[in-house]
Amino acid sequence: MGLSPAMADLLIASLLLGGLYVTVSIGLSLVFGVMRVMNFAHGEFVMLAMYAVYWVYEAVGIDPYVAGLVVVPAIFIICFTVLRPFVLWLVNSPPLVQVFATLGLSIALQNLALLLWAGNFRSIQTSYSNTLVDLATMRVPLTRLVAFTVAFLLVIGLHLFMKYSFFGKAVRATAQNRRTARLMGINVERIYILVFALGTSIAGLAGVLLMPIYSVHPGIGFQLALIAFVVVVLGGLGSLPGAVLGGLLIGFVEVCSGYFISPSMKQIVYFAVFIIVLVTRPAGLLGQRGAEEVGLK
Amino acid sequence: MNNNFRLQLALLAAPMAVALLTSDSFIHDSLTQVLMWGVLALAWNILGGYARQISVGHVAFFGIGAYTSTLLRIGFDVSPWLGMIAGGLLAALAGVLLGLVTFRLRGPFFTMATIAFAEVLRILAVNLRGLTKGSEGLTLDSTPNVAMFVFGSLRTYVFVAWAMMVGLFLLSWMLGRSKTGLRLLAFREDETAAQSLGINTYRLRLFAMGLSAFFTAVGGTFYAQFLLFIDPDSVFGVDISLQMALIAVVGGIGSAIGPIIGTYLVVPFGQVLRAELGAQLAGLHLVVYGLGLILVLWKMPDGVWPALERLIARLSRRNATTVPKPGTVA
Repeated sequence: MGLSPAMADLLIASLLLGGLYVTVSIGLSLVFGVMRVMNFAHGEFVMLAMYAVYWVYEAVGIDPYVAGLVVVPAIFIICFTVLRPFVLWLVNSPPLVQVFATLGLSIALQNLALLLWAGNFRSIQTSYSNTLVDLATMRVPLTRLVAFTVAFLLVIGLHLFMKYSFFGKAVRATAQNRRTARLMGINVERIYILVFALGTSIAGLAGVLLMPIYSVHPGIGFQLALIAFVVVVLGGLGSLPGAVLGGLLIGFVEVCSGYFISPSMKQIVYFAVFIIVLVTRPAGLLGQRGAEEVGLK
Repeated sequence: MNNNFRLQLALLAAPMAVALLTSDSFIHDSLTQVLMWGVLALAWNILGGYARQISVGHVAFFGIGAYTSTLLRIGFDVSPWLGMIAGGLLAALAGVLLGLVTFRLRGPFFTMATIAFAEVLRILAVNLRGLTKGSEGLTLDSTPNVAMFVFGSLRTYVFVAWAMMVGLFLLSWMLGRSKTGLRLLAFREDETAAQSLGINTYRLRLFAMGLSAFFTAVGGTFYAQFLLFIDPDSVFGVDISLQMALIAVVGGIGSAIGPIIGTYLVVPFGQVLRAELGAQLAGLHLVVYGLGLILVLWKMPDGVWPALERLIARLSRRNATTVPKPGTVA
């Protein structure tokens, strides 16, 4: 069966966009799966990473991808040190407190960005910003291709890491049963901090990949977080394959509705898909029932 | 009449006393906003507090209320007093439909679905330009006319908002003591146990959602009539959902007085911060606001009212014990 060129273009475009959404969402799903904490400030870390890359490029002229090599570990270290008490408090709090404490963090970070860098849209122009690469029937921007490739490697790497490494096994044990994991000698608090730092660094990585493509402003984190919520609930919260499927699906829905209906209505369409999936499969496409208690698969 | 009850009465009467004592229009304006947020937080509390379904999409109902009464007023010259009821009923319907879909979801899943719902309405309000004029917004006639819900003096707005808040307080208070209130209590303590006693928890939550949505929409109409201008970002913005929820959370959810205490603390705090910090440094007041919220949740995860209630109980006990009864040996 042959694909028409237009269909192939749409498919490639949706894959590229979906890859971005996977990177934005997978850290959220990871943190939720292990800690049962929905981090409503997840998008703000993407935003902060975008600003960090932007300023490094503007001030010193360091390439955004190179800057990422510093920015992503920096986010990891900040989570591991400064946010440590916050994370440990969060994981032991009732759900209501978790929701509003992370929302409070989201408000604070969003407005911190507004305070420091004003509300303008900022973007960077690199030598390769407008470079196009031939791919099958269409020419795609290099920056999007890089983002997709990194997202692909990230998903594979994360999967192998969680499945085969000793740390990954400890994480899965903690996700399944906190108390038993502790009895097996796992330092549960350490796992929580590391998982939070890992998930949030992935958000930072998403920011690094997004900066050469989009412009940054203080509200972008919340917009991306909204998409991430849809993606992870759609795929099944706490399920990493679910986040991948959800991200690709939302990318596909967004590209198609932008092409066939109208770009201004694309959000309506994917929210509609979201509602339909919720009605038919409340646990998400690859999720399990009661995932808010059961945790990571 | 115990101290707890006296304190609640004083808290309810205080804004009215302030409004009558001063004729400063700035204070009346602030007071109207405080009371309006009181109405919204109480409305949110019916679902978020009594039924423990944490919605961050209540602005959807607020916007429905604001747009329904405003469109009826502009298009058909219907009094916003009637539009308020129409908007309330429409919002209740929307709430029940949303509940039918989203009550299968638990915890953060539900919260995220409500945010998505509100965003859909915001995008629709921006894009359905034929109906809503999109981002241009709608302006209402500002000629004072009580029948059209436009008042000449700010003090009247304070009175109306106060009456709404006290009315909703009494309703919440009665709800808490009613059979339905007890069923809701059973549900939030243990859903399975409640179901095993024959409580239809799904229908119960739909009822709470409908009631909560109705009064949130009433607050939306009041907002539209107070500012006489609405646009999608101001009446469908997620920050409104957040504020009404966090007022209730700070004050203490699940009681009738908690959201009111939260309002008295959070809204003037926000107003002062904005006045002091907002002018020079955009955003700083919200940074402080967000961090303040985390601090309150950290120190008082149940909110201010339960902490206050414990304090009153302790003080009352101490007073009772420090006065020795005649004839007893200390």
